[in-house]
Amino acid sequence: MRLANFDLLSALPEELSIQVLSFLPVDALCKCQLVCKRWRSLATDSQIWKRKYLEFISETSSEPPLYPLEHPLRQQSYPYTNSFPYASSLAYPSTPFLNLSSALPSHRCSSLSPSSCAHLMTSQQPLRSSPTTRLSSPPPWRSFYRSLYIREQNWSAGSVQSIRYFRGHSSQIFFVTIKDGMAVTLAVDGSLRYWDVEKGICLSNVQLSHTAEEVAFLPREWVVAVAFRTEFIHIYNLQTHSPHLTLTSPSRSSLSCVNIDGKYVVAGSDDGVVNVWNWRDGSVVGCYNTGKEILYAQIRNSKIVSLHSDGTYTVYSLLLPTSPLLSISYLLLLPNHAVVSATINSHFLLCATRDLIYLFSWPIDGTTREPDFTKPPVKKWEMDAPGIVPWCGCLAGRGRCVISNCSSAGPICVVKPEGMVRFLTGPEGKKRGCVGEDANEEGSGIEVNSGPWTLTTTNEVRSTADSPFLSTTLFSNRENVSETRSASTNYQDRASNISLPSAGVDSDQRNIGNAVDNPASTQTNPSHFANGTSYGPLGWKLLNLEEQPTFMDVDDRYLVIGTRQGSLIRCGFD
Amino acid sequence: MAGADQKMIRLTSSEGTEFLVERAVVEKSVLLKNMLEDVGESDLGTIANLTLLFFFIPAIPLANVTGPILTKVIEYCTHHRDDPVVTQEDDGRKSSADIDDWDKEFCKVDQGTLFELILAANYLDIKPLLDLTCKTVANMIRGKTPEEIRKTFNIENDFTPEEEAQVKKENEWCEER
Repeated sequence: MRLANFDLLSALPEELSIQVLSFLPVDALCKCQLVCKRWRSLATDSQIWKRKYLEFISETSSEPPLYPLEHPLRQQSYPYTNSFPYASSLAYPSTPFLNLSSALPSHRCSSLSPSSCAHLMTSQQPLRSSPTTRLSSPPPWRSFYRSLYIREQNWSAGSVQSIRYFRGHSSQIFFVTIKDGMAVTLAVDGSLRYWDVEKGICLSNVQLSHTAEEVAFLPREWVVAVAFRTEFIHIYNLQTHSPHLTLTSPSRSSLSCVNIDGKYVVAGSDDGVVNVWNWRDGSVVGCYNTGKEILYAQIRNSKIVSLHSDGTYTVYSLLLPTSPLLSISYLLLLPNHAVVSATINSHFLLCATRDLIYLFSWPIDGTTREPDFTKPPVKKWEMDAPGIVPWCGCLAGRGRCVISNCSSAGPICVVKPEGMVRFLTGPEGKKRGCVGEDANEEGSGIEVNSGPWTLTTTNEVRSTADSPFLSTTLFSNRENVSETRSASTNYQDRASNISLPSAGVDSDQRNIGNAVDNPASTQTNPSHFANGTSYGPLGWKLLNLEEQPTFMDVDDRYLVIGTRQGSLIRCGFD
Repeated sequence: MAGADQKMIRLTSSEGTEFLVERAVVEKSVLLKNMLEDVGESDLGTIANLTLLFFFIPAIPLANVTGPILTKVIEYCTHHRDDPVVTQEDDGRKSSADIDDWDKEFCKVDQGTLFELILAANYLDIKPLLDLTCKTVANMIRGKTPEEIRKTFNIENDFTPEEEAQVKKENEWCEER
């Protein structure tokens, strides 16, 4: 055993070697592949990479890790339905309206076929079959991991890799929502469209009878709940284009927000009542008077969470019909600040007052691994709002947090949960942004924002060193900074080589990836920041959007933006 | 007097060395625990209490485990005899850094011993020991360059320059982590 050429790892039975390697982080696994042929074959073992992939996706996706495989995203990311043990649970459930086995939307089925994962496969390095090189191609789990990893890196660097414009609406889009790669848009002319964002297809076009306020939908069931600026909600079947059901607020006051899950529809009305219906049979399940203006309501695991303008949120339980109120909590906001916009997901609560944006994270229940809405959320950071209201914010997964006021001058920012900000658009959404300590060259523009990042009309993004904001914000640590730097430089080549798909992308758009990465300007300058926090100017890349953003949303893969001109813009990070 | 949980078990290593071990310690091994359960309480009960009657104590031959390794395994199991049984399949999977000091000291052995410990832990089905030893090996790999890994594990680079370039290229994406 103590021979000079004893290689412990290779000497072990393969199953144990793999067990050893599965304790390693991914970068170490990659190094192991360079050791020798035997190690390469061990370190590319499909088991390890499958585990790493599933771990990674449960870290980054919207749902808590308990149910990582039920998330529909898996359909898209996992091409081998035949060998996939969870494939059956991923199949489309038939809708409550009719048996759709024959009318099953073919485009979604095809997303289960291996061909649709061509983008995953092609991103793998092609192996040349020269006579000297006989190494077998690594198993696909590794390339799934790699694709996911690159997407997350791009996301965290705010580095949009592709932009597509989907035309369809003939008037301004005022509401967009995306879930699992499917989106619903509302335009001011009363049309509602349902999109497959991945493929860029409009699947359904519904003309609404009234002016809608907001929609919520279930992508897998083709069901959309439209809340009107009156007291009722229509539930549409997106395949028949007709309202299936009309739900009316018992108090007859107009609705302000709506949400839907597999069974219930929840809507807040202007008189402070949260209404809950069972949308499958149309019955009223409950209505709870909060007495406050409701900004957002969600239903999750039979609990209703509603957020109010006074910085409180209430939790009701549907399981306790006699005393449904579980808790009323106050968010730790600055005093006398009214919340104007709010959204929650399973990890975070994002809300904004007129001046500040706050991110809170939910405590996770130890046993169920579900967010515990009855305990107060922990504040992660607060920051100056990038503009004036109206503002909208969106959240997805653990790493997706996008904010924008979507007003004429408002930028779209990607904010990481750690508090780093990337601007994706400048005030006019035209020129590239660049980062500099002082940005002297063209810094004579008019300031439109007094936050820590000062936006001028020349789109120079500056950091203002002595902003009081710095002392109250949780900043990125050094690790994040270096991650960002490397990612933004590393993927620059990749980005600039992307050939954008057609769909009305004009040649100007081909420069997205090229936007500004002057290495000299991406040096960290810690002296600019108080409290010893090191915060590097970042490789911000502004989108050169042709059209003016009005509303947006994110899911695990895409950022979608509705525009004044009626386009739906998809920004992909893959 | 020996209590109910202090029944003794005789373990025999591959060379025939005998070890007298408390049952509670032996039962850290799922293999031996199941074996003892199969033998049944009645067969062991009364006899095992009479520690003087050494020959009546049941003996389990372990042909795959040498004396020195069995000593180490017993040392580990004795130290961890009161640890709760970890039922979570993937517990501790995430990080290989969180090894406590005693365990770290325990694993300061040469690679041959570590190798045999992994095999013994696997054979005897002692999951915490298997995890510990695997993590220890993983820590020997972690943070090293390929060349340093080769040195640590006495490995010769058998790639041709072309192959090496190819593998390098394949792994470019994760270098910046």
